[in-house]
Amino acid sequence: MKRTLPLIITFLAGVFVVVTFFIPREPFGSLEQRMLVWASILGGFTLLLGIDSLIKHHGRKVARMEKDWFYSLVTLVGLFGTLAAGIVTWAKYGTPLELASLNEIGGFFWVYKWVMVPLQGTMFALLAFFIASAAYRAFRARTFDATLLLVAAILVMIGRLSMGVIPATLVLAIFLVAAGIHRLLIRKPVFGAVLAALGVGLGALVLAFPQDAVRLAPQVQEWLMSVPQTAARRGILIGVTLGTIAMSIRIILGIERTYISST
Amino acid sequence: MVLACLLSVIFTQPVTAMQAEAIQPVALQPVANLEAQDTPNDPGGSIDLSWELSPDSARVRRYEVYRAESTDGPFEKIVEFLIPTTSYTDADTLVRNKKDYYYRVDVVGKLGTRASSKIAGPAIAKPQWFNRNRLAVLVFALIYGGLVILYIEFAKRDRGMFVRRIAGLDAIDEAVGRSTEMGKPILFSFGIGYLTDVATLAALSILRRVARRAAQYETRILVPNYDPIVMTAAQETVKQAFLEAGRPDLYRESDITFLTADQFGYAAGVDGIMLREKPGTVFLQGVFYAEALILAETAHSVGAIQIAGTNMATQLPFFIAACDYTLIGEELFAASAYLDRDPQLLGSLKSEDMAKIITVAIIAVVSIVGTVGAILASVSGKNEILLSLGEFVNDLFETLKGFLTTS
Repeated sequence: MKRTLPLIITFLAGVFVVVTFFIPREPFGSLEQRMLVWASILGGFTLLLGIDSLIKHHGRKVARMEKDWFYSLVTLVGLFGTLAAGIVTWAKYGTPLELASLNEIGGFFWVYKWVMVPLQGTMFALLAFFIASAAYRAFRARTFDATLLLVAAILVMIGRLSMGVIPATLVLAIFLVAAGIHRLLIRKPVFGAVLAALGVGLGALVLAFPQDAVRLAPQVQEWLMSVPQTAARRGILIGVTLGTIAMSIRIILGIERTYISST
Repeated sequence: MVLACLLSVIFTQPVTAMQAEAIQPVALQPVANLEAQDTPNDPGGSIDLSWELSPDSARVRRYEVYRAESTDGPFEKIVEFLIPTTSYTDADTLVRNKKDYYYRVDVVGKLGTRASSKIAGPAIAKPQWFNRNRLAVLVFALIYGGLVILYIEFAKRDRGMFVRRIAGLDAIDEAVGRSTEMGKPILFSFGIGYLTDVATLAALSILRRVARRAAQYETRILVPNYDPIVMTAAQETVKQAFLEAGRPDLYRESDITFLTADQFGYAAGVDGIMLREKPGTVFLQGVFYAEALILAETAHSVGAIQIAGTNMATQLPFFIAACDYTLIGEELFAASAYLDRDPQLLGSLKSEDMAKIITVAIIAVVSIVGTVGAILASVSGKNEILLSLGEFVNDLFETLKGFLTTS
């Protein structure tokens, strides 16, 4: 029964939501939105579960002075400190979301603006460095696919770089030649020669036909982004959509049960 | 006197209609063909209005729409437009279903000159039982649902159904084994999805397999969570997997914890765990946004083997670039069928392939019809046969497009 009842509820809820998608008449038409509101309300209450888990986990680490307990202490201080700031602001202004607390040390908005936002910004900024390191690994021309990716990336970059098509192409040509020489030195003559030739060819072409290069580069970039890239993305999206529908049907029909415990 | 007359003739410019109105009001012509009808495919309480612009639209300052419950009025202004407008949907909360309404559109000129249209109505707002705009979805859903059920039946009879190899799923056992050999834990992240996301549910089935293997190999598994409901589901799944592996004693609830419901806070937290615990294998399965690459690169920096999978098309390139294995979109949803080899699940995978063939065929047919129509329109010239053929093909294209476009 512990397994059957959730399956029945899932089936009824799933079928009901699917049917209401096609019926605009009230109360069916707004039912999906209403269920989303219910989910939000339930989600709010389940946050208590999360806080319980957080306090238990980090509280135990601090109490037992386990490895890295200091980080757990910082987490707990952050959790209760923010809570205290909210309560103090609430007591003072009648709401924790009072903008006046932006200028007072320890106010709820002060914590948000001067602690949360800078920390979030720092993490997001790290992405730039991670993109560079991931691109370095992905664009190494070790296989045909990776070389294709490298060439496409170079063409897109040339078309988009704000420094201008000719300087950008020359810089990239120099990089390609350098990479080719490096490959030659580590006894990979074929790749090395291809890369060096690509660099020399690119540099020579842009110097020989500068006006054509300036005209063509944005067009090539645009074509790469709007034709092969869009085609591949749409192919993935069609697969994802069909996969989502199939998974949903399996869940509604109770075929897919991995999310339910059988104990 | 003569000089004054001559000067007046030379310097007087012809008076335009606008200037004439500035001097004295000039009558305006009203909007034409005002129509009011029930808004189709809606829950009721709404009436669509449409009209043609006044021939004097250049001199119209504003358009005013009026509504009444009888032809005699009183008419109440419900909206006004300062730019030329030809339609309006009256979805006012005062509009009731199954009640007669009458409409009038006035055009107002510079000096308050006004012209009223003919009264349109009665229009009655009605709720509909079926949204015809979603007919194509219903047809496709019925066909697809039928295919799923049909192929599940086929799969029950043919147990040796072929499924292509998915490298990312094949690598799970190897990745868990690697962590075990290195004496390091496994880290599994669902990203920042909720349990309402199908990708999170698919990731749970992968977690179950990973946890079962981890229990068999006596390897620790860490699951930091963004959502408390996902955390609860993950705890249940891991507990169940440890039980199935016959090692419930190894299950540690404290390894499957809630971190934070903040996107970058979560990324920072998981990064911290990776740097401190140095996992041998990192699974990134579920819904990911900007934190995808932050997590994948940190995992790479600690030397972990990474198996990623997401349905987010924008994050897939990052995973492909940074991870050892990536489940691309639908491969993530195929995980439970692929890993469990359950005939019912395998059957639904086959139906996906058939639905893909149908989708591609529809795309190809509509594209060909549209292209042929465009070619015929450009080459037909004055040839009657080509003209009528082009018209037919273009009409067919518009009909197909209209049917397939859903709102």
